[in-house]
Amino acid sequence: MMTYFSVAAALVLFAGLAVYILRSKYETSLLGARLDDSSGARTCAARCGEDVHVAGRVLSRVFSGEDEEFVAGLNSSRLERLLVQERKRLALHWVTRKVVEARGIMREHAQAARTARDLQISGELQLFARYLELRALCGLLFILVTAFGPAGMQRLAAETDARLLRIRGGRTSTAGLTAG
Amino acid sequence: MVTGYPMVALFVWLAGIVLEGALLYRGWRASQFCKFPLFYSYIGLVFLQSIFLYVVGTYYPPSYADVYWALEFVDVFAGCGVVLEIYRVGLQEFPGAARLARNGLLLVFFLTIGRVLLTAQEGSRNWSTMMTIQLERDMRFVEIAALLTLLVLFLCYAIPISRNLRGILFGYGLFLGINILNLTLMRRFGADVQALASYVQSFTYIFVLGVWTVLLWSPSLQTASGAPADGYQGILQQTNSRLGKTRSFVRGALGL
Repeated sequence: MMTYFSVAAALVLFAGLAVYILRSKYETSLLGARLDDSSGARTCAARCGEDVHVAGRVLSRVFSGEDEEFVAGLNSSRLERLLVQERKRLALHWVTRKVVEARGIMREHAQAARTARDLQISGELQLFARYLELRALCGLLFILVTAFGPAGMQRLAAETDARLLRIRGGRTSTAGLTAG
Repeated sequence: MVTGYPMVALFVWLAGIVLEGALLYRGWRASQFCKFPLFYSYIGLVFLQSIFLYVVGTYYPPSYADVYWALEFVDVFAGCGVVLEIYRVGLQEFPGAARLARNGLLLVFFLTIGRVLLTAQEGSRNWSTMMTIQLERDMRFVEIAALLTLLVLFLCYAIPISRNLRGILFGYGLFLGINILNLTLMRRFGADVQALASYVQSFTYIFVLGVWTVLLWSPSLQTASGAPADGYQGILQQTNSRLGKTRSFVRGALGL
């Protein structure tokens, strides 16, 4: 048992060192990429509007079925397909940007917190858990959008909601009948 | 000692002594002793041991194995000083990250004590070379755990470290990894692999000494981090609120 444990420890150490060395070696290029990334994010933010209301409007538009319904009325299957493809691409790009954003927030936090004398381990763990939760949500969103498309996903959510309401309603009426 | 390869063994031995001497000389010339006292103490100790072992191996060959394992044991404990040095120098300007590291290292320290006491208790009945190998392997294992804790912190908190410290970290990490693999093989297969294990270990050590000599040849500047500050609660609150905003968007998209 200890043999495997020791071999695993050595391998993890080698991997850790390799990651660290590679990171140090390409620190400059990473920094450049980060700058590009942040400028890209700024461009996107400027385009989409970092303002919460604008971002909310863009989001609801991308994930709503409104435009798809309009295009369906035009009776062009090619246009419909194009719209679905474009929407999916846009939605996946949005999800990826959210992941990058979350990563950036954590990176900035680490840079600020590393010099804080009163750093609390519980705070760091709690924050890390929230970050993991966000990453999991993004992962789930990515899978759902890939599988059903943004509008399809919303339809699915609405259908599930309606079914749940029906079940709840049914249960309430059954309970009422039983009580009566 | 590399048995069965007298010329190679002699070369490795002398190369080791020369490189250790060069490292100490450069450390003294470049005033690095004050900067990395524990690391240079370790090198000084190994340097003296290498000369002593050379004398023992040449004039009292039958006693060589016993002396070697006894000194190896001292090396293991001295090696903990190198890990401590990486922690001390690497995180001295980052009190927040140092606080996290301290907790991790304390845990590792208690594990060490526990493991040493356990092996010592087992050995009190019948101490053997295999027991020494086991204890050394366990100690090295704990050193690896401590080094990994530091590596994770350096990576997560993007701690910039100087070229000199990077050299110590890389060299000692490589040495530890190869060492634990060797000790594990020796513990499992015994004397059958001892010659091969010694051979690999010696060459790795020469390589590590080479890395240290190159990267510690001249002093490098420690990257400035900015003044240590208080106000962690403010930082945490700000990050929480930013993460919360992103999360609400994602949850909105999911229809939650």
